[in-house]
Amino acid sequence: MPFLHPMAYLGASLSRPAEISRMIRLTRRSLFKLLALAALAPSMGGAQATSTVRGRVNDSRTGEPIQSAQVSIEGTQLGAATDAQGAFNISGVPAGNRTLIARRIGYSPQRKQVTVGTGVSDVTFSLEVTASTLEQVVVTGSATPTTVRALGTSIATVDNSQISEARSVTVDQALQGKVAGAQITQNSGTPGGGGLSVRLRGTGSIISGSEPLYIVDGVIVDNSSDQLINFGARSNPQNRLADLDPNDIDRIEIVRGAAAAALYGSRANNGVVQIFTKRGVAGAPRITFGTRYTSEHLAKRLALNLAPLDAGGKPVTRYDYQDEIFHTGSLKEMNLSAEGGSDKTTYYAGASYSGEDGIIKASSAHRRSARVNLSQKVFDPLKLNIGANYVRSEADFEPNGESGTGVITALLFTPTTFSFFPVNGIYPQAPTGSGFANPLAVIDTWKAPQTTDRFIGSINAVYTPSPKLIAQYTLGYDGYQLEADQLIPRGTIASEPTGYTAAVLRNSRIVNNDGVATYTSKPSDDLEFGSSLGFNYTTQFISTTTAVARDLLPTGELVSAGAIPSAGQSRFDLVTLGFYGQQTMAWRDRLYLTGALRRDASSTFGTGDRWQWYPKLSASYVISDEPWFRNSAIGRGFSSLRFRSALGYAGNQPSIANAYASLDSYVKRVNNDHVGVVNSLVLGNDALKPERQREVEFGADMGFWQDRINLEATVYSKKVTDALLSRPLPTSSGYTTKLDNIGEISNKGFELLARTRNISRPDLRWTSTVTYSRNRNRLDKLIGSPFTLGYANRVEQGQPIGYFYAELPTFNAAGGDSIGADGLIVRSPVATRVSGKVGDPNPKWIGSFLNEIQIGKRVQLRALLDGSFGGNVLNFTKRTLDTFGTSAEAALEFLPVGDPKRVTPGYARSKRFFFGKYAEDGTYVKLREVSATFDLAPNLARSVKAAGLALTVSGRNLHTWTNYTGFDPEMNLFGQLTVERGNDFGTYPIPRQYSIGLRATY
Amino acid sequence: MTNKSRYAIAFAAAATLLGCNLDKTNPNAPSQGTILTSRDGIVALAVGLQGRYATSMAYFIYPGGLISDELGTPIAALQSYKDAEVGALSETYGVVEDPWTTHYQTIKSADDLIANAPAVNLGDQSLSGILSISYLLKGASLGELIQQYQKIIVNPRAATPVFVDRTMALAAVLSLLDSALTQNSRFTTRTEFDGSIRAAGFNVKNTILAMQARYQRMANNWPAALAAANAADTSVVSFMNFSDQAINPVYDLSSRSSYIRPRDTVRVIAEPGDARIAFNITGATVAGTVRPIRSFAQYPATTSPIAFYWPGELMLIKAEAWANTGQLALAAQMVNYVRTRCGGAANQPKACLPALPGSDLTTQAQIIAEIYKQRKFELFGTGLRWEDVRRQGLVSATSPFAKRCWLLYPNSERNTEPNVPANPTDPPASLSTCL
Repeated sequence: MPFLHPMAYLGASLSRPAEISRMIRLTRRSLFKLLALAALAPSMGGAQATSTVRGRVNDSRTGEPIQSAQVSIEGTQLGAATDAQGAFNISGVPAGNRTLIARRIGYSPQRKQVTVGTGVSDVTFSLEVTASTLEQVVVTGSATPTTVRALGTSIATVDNSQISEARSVTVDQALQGKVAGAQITQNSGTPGGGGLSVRLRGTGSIISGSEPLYIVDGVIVDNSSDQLINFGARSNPQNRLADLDPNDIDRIEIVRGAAAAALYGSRANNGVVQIFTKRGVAGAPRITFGTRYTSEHLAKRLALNLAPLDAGGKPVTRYDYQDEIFHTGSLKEMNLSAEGGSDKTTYYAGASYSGEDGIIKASSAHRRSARVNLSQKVFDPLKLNIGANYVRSEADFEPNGESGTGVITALLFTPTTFSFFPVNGIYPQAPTGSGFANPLAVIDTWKAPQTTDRFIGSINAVYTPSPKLIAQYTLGYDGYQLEADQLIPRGTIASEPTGYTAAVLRNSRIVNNDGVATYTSKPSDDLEFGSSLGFNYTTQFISTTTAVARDLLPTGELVSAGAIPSAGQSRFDLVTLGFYGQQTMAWRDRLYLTGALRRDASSTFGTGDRWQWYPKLSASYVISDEPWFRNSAIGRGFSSLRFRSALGYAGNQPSIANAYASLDSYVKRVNNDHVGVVNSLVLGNDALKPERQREVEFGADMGFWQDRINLEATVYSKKVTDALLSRPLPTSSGYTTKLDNIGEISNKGFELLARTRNISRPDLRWTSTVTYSRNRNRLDKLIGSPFTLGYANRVEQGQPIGYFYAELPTFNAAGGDSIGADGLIVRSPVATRVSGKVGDPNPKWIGSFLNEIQIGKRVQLRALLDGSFGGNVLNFTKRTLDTFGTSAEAALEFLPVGDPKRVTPGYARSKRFFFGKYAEDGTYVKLREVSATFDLAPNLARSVKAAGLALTVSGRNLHTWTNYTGFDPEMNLFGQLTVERGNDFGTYPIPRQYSIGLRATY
Repeated sequence: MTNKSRYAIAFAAAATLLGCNLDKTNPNAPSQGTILTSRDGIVALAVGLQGRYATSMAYFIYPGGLISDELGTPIAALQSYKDAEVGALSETYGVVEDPWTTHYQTIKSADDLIANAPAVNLGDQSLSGILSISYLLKGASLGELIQQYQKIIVNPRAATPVFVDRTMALAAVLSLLDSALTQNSRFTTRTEFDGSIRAAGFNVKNTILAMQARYQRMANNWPAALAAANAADTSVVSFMNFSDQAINPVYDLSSRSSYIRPRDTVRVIAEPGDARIAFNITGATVAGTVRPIRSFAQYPATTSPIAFYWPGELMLIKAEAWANTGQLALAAQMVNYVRTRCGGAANQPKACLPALPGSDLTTQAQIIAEIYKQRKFELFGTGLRWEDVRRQGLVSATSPFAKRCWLLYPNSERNTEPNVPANPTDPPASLSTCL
C-alpha cells in the first residue's frame, strides 16, 4: 500500500452493516470505473511512437525569458513548465501533427503547430502581455486543470508577485484588497497576523462559521481560531493560517460560492481558498535570500480625559497610560529559498524566520518555517509531487478587550487620576474592582505564551498512462500541537490573590485522501469531452486538554507549581466522505458546458440525512471567438467577450464542536459523594443535515482596446436553506434546545473587477486594478424569537445578520433626544422602553484600487487603496470611556460653568444605555500597501556575488481615511465569530508599518 | 507500470475508503443508548436524579420566598429579584423560568429511570431503591411546581402534554408517592443502593412519608395526612448533602453571591426568645430593596445541607389534622409541644418558647391561627410560606404577605408549547386564596 499514511486510525472499526454495505457499493462503483479507465489506458497510448518537444518562451516586448510558463500539447495531458531561462522539454509526445500552447499569467497564450517525428522538435514562443485572464489555468472547483474560458464561474487568482508585494506577515493579510467579493478584515493588531476574517460573498451561516475552506497543495488545512486562553476577545487573536509563510506561495485561487464549489460538497458553503506553494522550475539552482526590517507604530491614540482640574475645580494630576502601554514595534523577517531541477526532478526548498514585537509592550510573535517541495517523474506515466512543511509559531499575547485584565481595557475603566506606577516594587491594585488588573503589572509580570508545532505534508501521484487519461491521488496531512499557557503571578490581581496558571494543549489533525481520474476524448475537430470521477475522504481530529492551578509557589509558573489543580479534556472526530463525477463538453473552443454531481456524507449528520447530493451546471460562451460576432458592429468594440453562468449546490457542516450534535448525550452530574449523569439539556438531533446553499451566478468578461482594458462582472444570488440554529424546546421536556436546520439566509450581490494597462511601453509600464463588490445579506427565515449575540448584533428574520439592535432614547418634539431637567438624556421607564435598529456592521460596498508602475528595468512603484463603505462600528471603547468619565468628552464636564464648551456633568455617562450613540460610521479607505522597489545596478549585485539585488521600501496601513473616532474601524473584538461583527472594545490596534527590505538572487 | 503496482494503488485507495466509519461515538459524553440500557448507566442516572433535585430545591425556596414576605435582595440592579419582591414579574425572568426548568429536568431523569430501570438487571434491592427515589422526587417536584404555577403538566412524556389543575396535580403527586412507598417497603436495607447510589443523609422512607403528609394536607385529606405524619419518625431529619463539586445552590445564591437573602422582618415580628430566629438568620442588617435584610444562618458553606422537610412540619400537620377533625385538645397539646421543644441536636429549628396557656388554645380558630403562626417560624426559608399565605387568603396587590398568586408561565414554554394556558389574572383584586 504505497500511499497509505502510517496514521493507523484510518482503519477504524466499522459498526453498522447497512452503512458499510452501502459504502462498499458506492466505493466499488466508483473504483471500478476508475480501474476500467486505467486498464484501458495502455492500449490507447502504448503502441504509438513518441518523441521529445523542447524550446523556449520569451516576452515579446522585452525579449526576456519567461519562467514558469506552462507549455502543453493540446488534446493531451502532456506538458511542462519553463525554467529560469524560459526553456521547456516535453518527452513522450506521440508522433504526428500536434498543437503546442504556451501560457503564463498576465500573457496571452500562444499556439504553435509542430509535426512531431522521430527527432527532437524545437519551438520558440513569444508571448504578449495582456490584462485578460481568459487563458489562465485554474484547478479549483473542477476535477482537472481548466482554462478560465471554459469555466462558467468566476474564480479569482492571486499570484505570487501580488502576495510578496503585500509585505504582510500572513497569507490572508496578503489577500486584502485583491479579490472582488471577498471582505477580508484584520480583527486586531496582535502580532502574528492579528486574526483575519474572510467573508466570501457575505455571511452564509449563523453558528457554524463563515470562514472558507482552505486547501494547501491539496491538503485541507485547519484555520481555527479557538480561544484556548481568555485574552478578552471571544476568539483567539491568531488564526492558524498564520502558520503559512507567504514567501512559499506560488498562487492562490479563490472560489466564492456554491456554483463553483459544488465539488467540495458539505464543506464549501463559505467558498474555497486553494493555495499552491512553489514547486520549483527546472534549471540551475536559483537561490533567493530576502530580509526585511519593519518598524510598527500606533496609528492613532485614544482621546482621554486629561482635564487639569477635578470636578471640584482643584488641580489634579492625570495619566495617559498610552505612553506606558504602547511602544514602537518591530518586525524582522528573513527567508532563504533554493529551487531548480532537471526535466525529471524539480525542487523548491525554503526556510524563513519572522519575529514581531508588537506595539503593545511584551506582545510578540515568532514564526520559523521550512518547506521542501519535490516533484519527480518516477517513470514515464507516473509523477510524484511531495511537499513537506514544518512550522513552529510562538507568540506572547497581552490581554485586552472584554477582559478586566486587558491592558487597553484598564485605560477605559480607570479614572485618569489613578497612578498605576509601582511603589516600592508593588503595583497598586486597580481601583475598579477585584476582576480588574493593573496594566503595568500585566505587561511586566504576566505571561501568555502560545507555541504551535505544525507539520503539513502531501504526497500527490499523477499517473498519465495515455495522452487522454490522467489519474491523480493525493494524501494530505495537517497536524499540529498547540500549547497555550497563561501565568498570573501571586498578588497581581485581587480576583486571583494566590496566582493562577493554565496550560491548554490542543492536538489537531486533518488527513485527506483524494483521488480523481479524467478521460478526455475528441470525437470530432469541433467537440471535446472530459469525464472525471473522483472521491474525497477526510478525517479530522481535535483533542484539548486543560490543566489549571491556583495557589502558586511564589516563583512557580507551571501548573505543577500550584496547590489546587484542576483539569479537563475533550475530543472530537469527524469523517467526511464524498464521491463525484463531472462531465465537460467544449465546442470549437468557444462554448463550454459542465455538469457535475457530488454525493457526500459526514459523520456529523443524522443517520437518515447523512448522504446528500450536490449538483452543479455551468456554461461559458466566448462569443468573441465567433467570426460573425467579431465582424459585427458591436463585436468590433470588444477585443474579447465571454458570457458565463452557473448554478451549483454546496453544504456547510456544523463546527467541529458540534460533531456529535446528532446524538443524545448524557453529561456528568455530581451529587454529594457520588458521580452520576443526567441528560444533556441539548437534545440530539438524528435528522441533522448540512446547511445547504444554492448559488446562481451570471457574468461577463470583457476586453477592450486589444485587451488593454479588461472587465469581469458577476452578479450572484446565494440562498442558504437548512441553516443551523439552536431550536428552543419546551423546557417541560427536560431539554432546552436542539441544534436544528431551521434558518434561511440569502446573499445577493455584484462584483466588478477591472484591469487596465494604462501605459505599456518598454521603458514604462503602468497597470491599474479596481475591484468593487456589494452584497446584501438577509436572514429570510428564523424559527423562534430573534436574539442578540455579542453586545448588540441581532439575529432577526427579515434583517441582515448581526445588525445593531439596542435601546432607543425617548425623543423630543424636534426628533432629538429628550433631555431632562438635570441636563441628561432621559431613559424611559422599563415598561415603555423601546429597542430598535441602530446600525449595521455589514458594509454597503467594498472596493480597492491598485496601481503598479514599472519605470525602466529597475524601478517598480505600487500602491493599493482598500476601502469599506457604509458599515457601522459599535464603539464600545468610547462608550466605556464616557461611562467612566475617562473620555476627552467627559473632560469637557470639568470646564468652568459658563464656558461655551462645557458639557453638563454626567451627560457623557447618560449616553451609555443607548448603544446607537456609539454605532459610528465605519467607512474607511486605507492606504493598505505602498512600495518602491529598486533593482540595484548589476555591478553592485556582483560585488556581493549575486545575480540580482533589489531594495524595497514599503509601508502597510500607512494611512486611514475615516470619520471613525476609535483606533481603527477595521477591527473586531469578536475575532472570526460569524454574527458578532463590527465591535470595537479595547481591541489591540492595527499598527502602521514602514519597511525596508533587500532581496538577493544567486 | 506493471499490473501489480496498478492493483496495489487500487487496493490502497479501496482500503482507505473502506476503513472509513461514519458512525461516531461521542468520547466526551455517553449516549442515551449507553446510559438507559446499562447497569452502570442506570446507577449513574439515579445519582444524577438526586443531583438535579438538590439543585431544584433552591428554585422552590427562592421564588416563593421573594414573592412572599421571607426573602429580599440587597442589589437594586438585579431587576428580576427586585421586581419579584413587589410581585411584578416578566415571563423571561429567572424567577419565572428557573423553577419550571429545574423541576422538569428532575422529572425527566425520574421518567428515564421509571421507564428503563426495570429492563436492566439491577437486582431487586437496587431496582426498588432506584424506583422509590424516582417516584418520590418526581412527586416532590410536581408538588413544588403546583405550589408555584396555577396549572402544570403532570406527564411531560405524553405526545401532547396537557396542563392540569391543582386537584389533578395533587392526585398525581399522591399517586407517585404511593408508588414510592410501595417500592421502598420491599426492603429495609439495600447494600448497593444505600452505599453508592443514595446520597448520605437522605432518609428515603421518612421523606416519602413527610411528602405524603405535606400533600395530603394540601389536598385537605386530614385522616391521610395524619396517618402519614404519624408513620414518619420525627426523630430523624432527612438532608440533601453537598460537596465542593456539587455545591449548595442556596448558599450559591445567598451567602456567596449575596443576591437573595432573608429579610429581617421575621425577627421583628417573632416572640422574644424564639430560638428559631438565630437558627435561620444571622449577620448584620443591611438595606434591601424593599425591607432590611440579613443572611441565612443555615447555609454558611458550600457544603451546608438542605433539609427535605423539618420534623416540626410533621408535628404541625398532625396538630392541624386534629384541629380540623375536632380533636382540639390533642391539637393544642401538639402546638405547645412545638413551642416548647428545646435543646438536643442543633440540626433543626426549635422554638424554645414557653407554652401558651390553655385559654389561648381553646377554639379551633385559635388553634389554627397559632398553627399558621408557628409554621411561619418553623418552616422559614423552606419555600412553603407562599402556599400558607394563599391558604389563609392573604394574597392581594397590597398585601404585605404576598402580592401575587402564581408565577407566570415561562417564556421558554410559552414560545414552544401550544397548550400553555393564559396567565392567571394576578394579583387578585382583593384578599384571596387564589383558588
